[in-house]
Amino acid sequence: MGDYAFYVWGSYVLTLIALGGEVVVLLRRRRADRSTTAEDAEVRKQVQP
Amino acid sequence: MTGRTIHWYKYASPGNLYRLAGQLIPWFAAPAALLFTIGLYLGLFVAPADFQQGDAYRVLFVHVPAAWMGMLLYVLLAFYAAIGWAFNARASSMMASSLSITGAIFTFLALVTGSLWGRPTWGAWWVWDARTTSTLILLFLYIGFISLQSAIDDPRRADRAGAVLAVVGVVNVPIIYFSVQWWSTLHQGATIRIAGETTMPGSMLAPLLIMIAACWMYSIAVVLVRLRCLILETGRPRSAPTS
Repeated sequence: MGDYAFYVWGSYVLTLIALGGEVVVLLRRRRADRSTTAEDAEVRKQVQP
Repeated sequence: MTGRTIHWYKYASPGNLYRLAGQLIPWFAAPAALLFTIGLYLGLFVAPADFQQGDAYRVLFVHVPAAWMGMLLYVLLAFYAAIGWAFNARASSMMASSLSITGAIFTFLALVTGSLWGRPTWGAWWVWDARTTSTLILLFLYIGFISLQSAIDDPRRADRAGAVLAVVGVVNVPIIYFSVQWWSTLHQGATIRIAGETTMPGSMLAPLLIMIAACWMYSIAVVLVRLRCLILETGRPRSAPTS
């Protein structure tokens, strides 16, 4: 790509970081939500007579 | 003879929407990964260099899809926010919230990749061109929507406030789109036209369209994942599964 390599690869790497980062953050959030939901269900089971 | 009728209104319930979103996610995530792989390969290694811009034009394969998604997701956000506001539909407002972050990321990418394309072609990282300025305003609108929703504790009030901003701000989207026609701008005109022939050769058009489709599939998948997270966080649906 010669002189344009920085600009082209820079665009693609930034896009990969942004979209990949969004996916990683979302998956962590989903895991945390699911474990919280599982904990809530466990607590409800314990307090139910 | 009895027909099977789908009662779409049942998806206004977060519980049913949660289940539907979970079923749909794989159908968009897998094609997104495939289309990104194909589009990136074609755009970086197969499409020929431009006779004027050389290889610098390859930024187009991420810049144009990002710009389109930024605009389209804002229109969708405004639509869902308006529905949530008008009908007091919590699920619709949650959908608007789910769209906001992805739309902001794409708009940010459109601006940054636009700068990376502008430097070698225009000789400047940034110009206060009509399109670039209105796209920057779009990013501010996204940030404003996200900030406003985060700042208000009561979810109903947050939804209403966000809806007002979203509906007022949607006027910016046609300004972005038509800016290259209305004003004398540095930014080039539309490459792909809804009515009329495109000026781009097939070897360049194909990877561009594949990347646009990939960004669409990706957006739907991540928005649905975020929607499910929001539904779990804001209230447990009546019969939501724990796994």
